[in-house]
Amino acid sequence: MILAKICVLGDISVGKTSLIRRYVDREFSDAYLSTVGVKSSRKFVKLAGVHDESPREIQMVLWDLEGGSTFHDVSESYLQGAHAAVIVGDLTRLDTIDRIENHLDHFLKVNPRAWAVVALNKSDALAEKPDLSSNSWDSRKAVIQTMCTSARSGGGVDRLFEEIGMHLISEHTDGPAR
Amino acid sequence: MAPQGDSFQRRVGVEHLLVDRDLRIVSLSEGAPCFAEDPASAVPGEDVRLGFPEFVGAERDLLDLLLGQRLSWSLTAVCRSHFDGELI
Repeated sequence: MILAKICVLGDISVGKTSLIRRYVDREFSDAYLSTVGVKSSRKFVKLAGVHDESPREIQMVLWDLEGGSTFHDVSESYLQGAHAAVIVGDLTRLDTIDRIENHLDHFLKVNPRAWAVVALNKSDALAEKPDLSSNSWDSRKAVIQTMCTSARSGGGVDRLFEEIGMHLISEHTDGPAR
Repeated sequence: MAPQGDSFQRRVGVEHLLVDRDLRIVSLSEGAPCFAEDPASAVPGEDVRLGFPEFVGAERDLLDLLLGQRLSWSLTAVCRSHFDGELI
């Protein structure tokens, strides 16, 4: 079994807890409760890698970290040992997208060999599909994928975590890319 | 752990478990499974990370402890709850 610690980071109220809840519990609630400190959830998945015939079992431990645009030393202890991160931004609040790189830098400072996926959440609130052709973090090798998600509708959520699972499998098969 | 220490820990309400270098549970105190996310997985011979997923990602730190390259490792608190906020 592949065991992985995944940290979910982003500004306050971008939908970090909702994304985890959608993925782990298949639920969504409009009621907003700010996460205090850290919450961890677990999901067992079975996925077949690109070159694998047989599916691999993965235990993802998702660490839901209190949102904020400033960072405290205390959060670094929670980031330690993470294999990957989901950096979340809210498509309806562009300032949260602007700060995605800050969260990425903070995460990579603690885990320089880790990687990340970027989730642009609340895509259901936009009338038109956003243009993802150029983002400030595109040139960063650590970012393996950027995706639009909606914790409310579930759009893109399974695919986001499936992408993480596939990358974990390829790391275990081929060794870390970096 | 010596029985004497075990008895002392029970008196002060401390539970414990011992793991080997592969993070498999060697032994555990009577009340330790109550603190596991999945108490059924907190049994001797099982990987401690199944019952206590917080240890996923901490493997290197724990190994450093074993090798004496680190003096301590702590996680201040772990809260088990359902998503509706009800404590387990």
